[in-house]
Amino acid sequence: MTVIINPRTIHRGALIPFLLALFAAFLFAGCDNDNPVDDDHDEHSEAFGLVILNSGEEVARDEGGSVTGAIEVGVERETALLSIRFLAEDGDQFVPEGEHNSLAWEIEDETITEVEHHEEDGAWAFHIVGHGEGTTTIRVKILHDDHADFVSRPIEIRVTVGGPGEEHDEDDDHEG
Amino acid sequence: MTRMMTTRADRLVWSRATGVVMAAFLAIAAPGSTRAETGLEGQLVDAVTGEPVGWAIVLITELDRHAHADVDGCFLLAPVPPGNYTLRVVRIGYHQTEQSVVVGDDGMSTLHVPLKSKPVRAHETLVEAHEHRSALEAPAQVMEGGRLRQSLGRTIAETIALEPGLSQRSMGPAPARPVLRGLGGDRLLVLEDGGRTGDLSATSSDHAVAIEPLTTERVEIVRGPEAILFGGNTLGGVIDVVRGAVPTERVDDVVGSFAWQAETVNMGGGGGMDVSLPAGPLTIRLDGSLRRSDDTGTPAGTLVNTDLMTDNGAVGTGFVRSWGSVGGAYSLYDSDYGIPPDPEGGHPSGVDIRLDRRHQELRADLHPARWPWLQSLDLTYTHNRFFQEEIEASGAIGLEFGVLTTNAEARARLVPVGPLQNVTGGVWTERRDYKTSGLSFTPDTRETAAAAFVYGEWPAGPWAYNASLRWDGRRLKPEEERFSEQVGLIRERTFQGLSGGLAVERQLGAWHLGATAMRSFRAPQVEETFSRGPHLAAYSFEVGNAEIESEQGLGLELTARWHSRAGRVAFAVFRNAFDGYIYPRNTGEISLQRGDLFLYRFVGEDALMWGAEGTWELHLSSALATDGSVSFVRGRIDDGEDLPAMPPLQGKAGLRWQARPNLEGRIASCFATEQGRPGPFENPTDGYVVLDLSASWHRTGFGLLHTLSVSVDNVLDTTYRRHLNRVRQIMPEPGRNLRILHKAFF
Repeated sequence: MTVIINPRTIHRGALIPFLLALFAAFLFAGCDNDNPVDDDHDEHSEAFGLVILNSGEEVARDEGGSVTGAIEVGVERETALLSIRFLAEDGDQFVPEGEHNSLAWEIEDETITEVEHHEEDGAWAFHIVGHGEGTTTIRVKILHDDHADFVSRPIEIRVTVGGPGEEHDEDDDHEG
Repeated sequence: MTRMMTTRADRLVWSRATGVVMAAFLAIAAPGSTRAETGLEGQLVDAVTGEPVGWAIVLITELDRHAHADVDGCFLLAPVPPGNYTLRVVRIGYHQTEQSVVVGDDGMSTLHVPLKSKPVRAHETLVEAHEHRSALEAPAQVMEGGRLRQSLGRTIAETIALEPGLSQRSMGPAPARPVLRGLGGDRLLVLEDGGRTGDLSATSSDHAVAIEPLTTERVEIVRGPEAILFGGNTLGGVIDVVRGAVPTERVDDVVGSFAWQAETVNMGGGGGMDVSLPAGPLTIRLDGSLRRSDDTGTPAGTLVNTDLMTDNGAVGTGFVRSWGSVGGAYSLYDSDYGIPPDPEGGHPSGVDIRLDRRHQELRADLHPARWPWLQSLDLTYTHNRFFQEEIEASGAIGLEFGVLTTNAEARARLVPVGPLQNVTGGVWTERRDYKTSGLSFTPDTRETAAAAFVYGEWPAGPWAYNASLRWDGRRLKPEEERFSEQVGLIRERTFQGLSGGLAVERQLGAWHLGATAMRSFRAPQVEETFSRGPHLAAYSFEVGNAEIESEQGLGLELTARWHSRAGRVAFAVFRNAFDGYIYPRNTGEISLQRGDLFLYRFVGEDALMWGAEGTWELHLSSALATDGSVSFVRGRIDDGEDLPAMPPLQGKAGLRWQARPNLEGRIASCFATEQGRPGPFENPTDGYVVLDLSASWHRTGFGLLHTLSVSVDNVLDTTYRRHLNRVRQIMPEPGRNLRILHKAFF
């Protein structure tokens, strides 16, 4: 492209410096050319369901949009170690890897039950402790840093007097 | 590494593109003569008293150039090329005047313009097509002046919600977006100074429009064939919020305005100002505003987590000469707002949203003397950096969006070609870099788009025709090709199509009868094609459709307008049919991945919308006038289901009383009938009637022109719900609200 400039017609020679300054300002503002979002898609776990196992035996399953089974525990008792296995889109079981992923949960009524999560039991296992008689639900989550990559459907927990489980030791280390 | 190189290469290409644009500015801007500066100067005076009338806007309509008259009514419009022009003067409290003027080729032409004060103010908002020129060609409705000040809300949608046919989609007060005749989102473009905003407000109801009303000069609503100039998907129309960030006028003194606003319903308020300064051959313009508001009160309680903080500012400069103007601007817009909690929507504690928009633009508005066949050539280059994060109640970041949008446009308007007028043609390009982070499985995607368009008008006696034609092409290129069970095969998609419009109007005495046919083309957006992931702020888990096709619409409209000294009345009936209408359909299922969210899947289905609209403005006496509007739209999907998010029959009716030349009062009622035809998984919404009162006053003092608007919305504290408010089940609309706006011009 041929640039035609007639210096006599430029108002006090101001147009060219003005355009150059404008252009420089645009280059200076080039810091806005980087997308502010860092891509971290690959680190996310894509779970489509889960299975809760008690000593290898399936207790509850959230798959295909429906939940089967329930967790049962007695008042002032705790379940055996419950292991969580997540389901991939093709049905394969997996546990998330990487330091960004952690287990989280949400109990509907914490006066009925709570979760005990012992460090030595591994990242993807916990105990359920019964406090009061009744029925409530738990949603199990895969927490990726601060947000949930997966949230299960509500899984029923039934707490009954004389129900299954071992006597709960209040002094046991736990997070809950 | 490859990606990094690609990014650098892309930047290089775009830097070169910018250089080419700048070179074009330089090449075309060289004027063809060395004559003395020509232009217009003069004074505005009261036609009866002969006193100077200051703070008026003086506009040359053919050039879209304007100047502000100072306190003594003096104005200067220079440089202006020699020729015959139409000069329009707009001033609060005076009749708008127009007169033909001649700019000679031997210096400044001097004018003495008398203005007549008016006992009853003609409505400032409704300006017929072709009566007002701006970045848009021929806006059908213009909202400015007193009407804009009286309606000024926290958002653009709230500000224009009572205009005919308009509703507002909302999810709490902050993320409201306009809906016109049932068409919202990407089908109703919201522009700033004629360009894309780069925000994500069109994609989801929790995303806000990144425009601050306080620094808005006027709002223009364009429909019909003209709208095609701005996008192929404008069956709903175009809303252009004119801010004027890049000065296109030369000022010889400091001019501007400042305003403050307060309202009781959220104990909020804001303030802003704009200043234009002369700096040798340049004009520098600065504007900025702050807005803070707390949770919104309703008759049923407080709608929690609806607070808002917005900061907004711009700096622009323009070089104005007889051949036109060249300039640039940089602006920032930061907003923090809340989305109210929905205990039943998987979102019990609400979400906070922070958005940050940075906007750069270069503009050249040229009238090159070397090409007499060319009336004007507008070159525009804009770059938007948009960032939005959605923060959960725990403080965790749930989702982030980052979008870089670069647009370049060249638009030429020709001098009349035979019987054709306003012949305009141009090309437009867009590059969009879309990324998400957090809990989203939507692939990073790069979009490129281009369009070419042409528009013209043909007045032929009592008949008038206008027509437009546009070609659009868009390519979506995800970062990688992969298969998803839910979305399908995610791969590069390309769409292209034609859009256009044809309108004809016949004048029969005081009546104008018209018919319009429009065809629209809309390529699917990234979210509609490839998205997959929870959208906590929208209470949904959204799944795109990789096989979705473009949407095409055919709109027909018949209009009848009557206009006389007694007022004006207009009716319209319309029918919009869509082939592959794209929308997120609530499946009624819970997401497998997020058991706390409903699954929304994007589908393209044939749909039909039809409705009617009526407006009136009648002068009942020398001091009394009535105005109002009624609109109705109904939408159905091909299988017989009603479309979701369709407003019911709604309207407003008002009575204005001009108590004194500088004092006006108004009583108005807004109403809507029950929406008894909800879409799938929607609930019906009851009808309502709401009473509003307002008054506006103006006077000069302390060397300033002051305007004061006081409004009481929902005077009776009525409990009512709007159908397009997604949180209407939680809380009704705001209760009684006292709003005050003071604006002063200097």
